[in-house]
Amino acid sequence: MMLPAIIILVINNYIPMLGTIIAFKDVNYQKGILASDWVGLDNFKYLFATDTATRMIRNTLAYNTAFILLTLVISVAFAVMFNEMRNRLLSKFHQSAMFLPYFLSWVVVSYLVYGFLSTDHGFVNKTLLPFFGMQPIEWYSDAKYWPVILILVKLWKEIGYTTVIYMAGILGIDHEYYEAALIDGATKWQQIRKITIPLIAPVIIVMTLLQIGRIFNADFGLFFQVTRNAGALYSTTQVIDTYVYQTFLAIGDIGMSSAAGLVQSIVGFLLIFLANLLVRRISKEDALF
Amino acid sequence: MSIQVEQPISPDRVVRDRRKRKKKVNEISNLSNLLINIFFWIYTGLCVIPLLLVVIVSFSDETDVLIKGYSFFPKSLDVASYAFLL
Repeated sequence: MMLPAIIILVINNYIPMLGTIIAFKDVNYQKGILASDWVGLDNFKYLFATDTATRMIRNTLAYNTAFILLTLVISVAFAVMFNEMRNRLLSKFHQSAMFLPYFLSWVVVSYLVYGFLSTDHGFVNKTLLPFFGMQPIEWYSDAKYWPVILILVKLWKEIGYTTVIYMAGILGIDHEYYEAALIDGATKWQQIRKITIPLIAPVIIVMTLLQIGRIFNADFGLFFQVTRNAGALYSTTQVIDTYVYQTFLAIGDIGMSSAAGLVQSIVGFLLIFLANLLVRRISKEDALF
Repeated sequence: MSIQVEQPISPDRVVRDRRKRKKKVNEISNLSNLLINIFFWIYTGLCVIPLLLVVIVSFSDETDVLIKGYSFFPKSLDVASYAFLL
């Protein structure tokens, strides 16, 4: 009975893994992939050797850490708040509205952001800043604003989704815990801290572990589309994925691109493994595997 | 979520309850409920208004956009961009 699933897994996930040999070859289209020359680790050098390399790795890690922490805190807070709202119907309405941005593609979001930040026609520069008597800002050529903008945009888009997941976790909690706490005289805040959070901890841990596994993979749409690939912003917006894309466009060497992909997968695998080990040390039943 | 507390039913009580719903035991206070509601109304606004801006701009006159920038209150409405698409 497991056979169909195993076949699909092998065809979709394991056979393509043979393609990792591309990362160790100097691919020559005339010779074909298998006959191309082996170059050892040469393809990996460009990922780590240049100045931009350290910068983009730093950017990737910093952004992803910020995303993981902020999404966790904000969406758990939102889920708790939704759960406490007295009007269920209104709570459903707000959830749906929050979920809306999640369905937009990054290209659409990119134009939304452009509508606000465009230097000449943008809503912020034309309406908002003059209203407060401030000078227009050239958003797309000043790198220092982008960490904030990107984090806000990412959270705006994704928070609805994670909130719903935590909501589901909270709804699964047995009411009797709260009733018992109430009889013991627990305040709302104590109930949240001592009952809600510990009981959704497994969900939190699984979500965080999965995100840690992708900490080396940046969200390409966010960093490429939303920044409109503006060169002036590279110092704060260039991440591994966009760097790989740009070098691939410039040099056209698929060996380098697959080397980058391989590094991302391996680092992600190691991190998820270590994080899981750590979780297992702290509380055994919460570990993923 | 909370314990239903049995209330003695008297006629005047029912009338009062219709105006102001009796708070269940484990529900948050009116003030916190109000604050949470206000907060989520603002957040819902933040989620929907950017989309609204794009819809409004899609209906506004192009020269208007070029001069005044993207705006929630366009001077004149125009379907030229949709006519161009079709």
